[in-house]
Amino acid sequence: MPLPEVFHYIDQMAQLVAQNREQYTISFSGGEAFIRFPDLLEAVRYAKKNGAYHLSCMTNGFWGEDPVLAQEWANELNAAGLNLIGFSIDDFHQQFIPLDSVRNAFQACRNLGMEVTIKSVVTMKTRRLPAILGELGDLLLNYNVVVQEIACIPEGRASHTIGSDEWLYQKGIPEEPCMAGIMLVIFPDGSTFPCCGTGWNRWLILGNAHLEPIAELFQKAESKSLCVLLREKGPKYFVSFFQQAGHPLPSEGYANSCHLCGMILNHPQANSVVPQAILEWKIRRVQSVLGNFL
Amino acid sequence: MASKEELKKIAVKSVEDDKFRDAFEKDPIKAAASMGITLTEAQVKDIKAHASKVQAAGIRESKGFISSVLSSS
Repeated sequence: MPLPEVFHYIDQMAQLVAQNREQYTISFSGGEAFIRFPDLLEAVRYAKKNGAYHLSCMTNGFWGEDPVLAQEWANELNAAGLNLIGFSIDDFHQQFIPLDSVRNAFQACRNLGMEVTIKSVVTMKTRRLPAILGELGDLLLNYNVVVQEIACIPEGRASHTIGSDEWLYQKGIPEEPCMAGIMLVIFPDGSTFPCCGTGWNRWLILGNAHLEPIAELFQKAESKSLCVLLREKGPKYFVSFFQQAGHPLPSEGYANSCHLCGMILNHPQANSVVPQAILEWKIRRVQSVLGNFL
Repeated sequence: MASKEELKKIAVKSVEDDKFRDAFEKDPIKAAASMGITLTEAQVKDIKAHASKVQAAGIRESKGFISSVLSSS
């Protein structure tokens, strides 16, 4: 994403929150945001100058290869206003990134007292979070770090490179509602989604930030039936509709609610089932609000 | 006073148009006025009460999960 475009989105966010007397946060992710370090630095600086409340980015920590350079980069980002760096540490990343690099990058952030998080994507055959944390040695000693273990979802490359016996599925059908629409995820081509899950497809797309103002996209995220439904009831709402239509979904075998959401919205019968389920929800909702008068 | 026919028009538009439904739940007077329909005070009171209930039910279902996620991020 070109830097002027990033600035343009930040300008719009700043204007929007000023109107609504709210605050905004931005998270920069990739790919790998640190590959374009000068742009990342400028973007953080610009967002901070324009009132961003909290700024974060995810990284694989490759930039810690040289501890001195890692400290310089961390210093610059910290001074620019970056609050949090999230590290992806797991077997998938460590195939390519030496853990020493990650340790150095982590240490550089720790030296500055920055917020740090660790996210590990895991399967049955990868190392689990305790083993990964153990490899960090004393880096976490007396330091507050949020760690998150995330079950790998069979989407994209993982769907054909990971064996069917390796997935870590939760029991039954995921019940959680989701956060669709409390954030905007903007891709370099401008396509904008209401979540950072894996179910990105035409059902969830809100529009294109190249063509529509951010305020309009937020408005859509707030009012779009599918987003409201996912926020209030979660993807499990759709399960009974697939059952009724004669296309029952598996009763288990889901990594999380994002996985279920992806299964539903990418289902071959989604074109017929999803609109009907949404229509029924809308009719019930409108009847609840206006029922006394109809 | 909005007639039954006019309220049906609002209902149909609420089903067809997400933006309108959202606006109507938040500000029924303004949203109805955008269709040239005037609601009575009693109608507004009833609609607002029911819209609040519907929204609150949705928030109850989701807030436990969302607050747990936000507190860990």
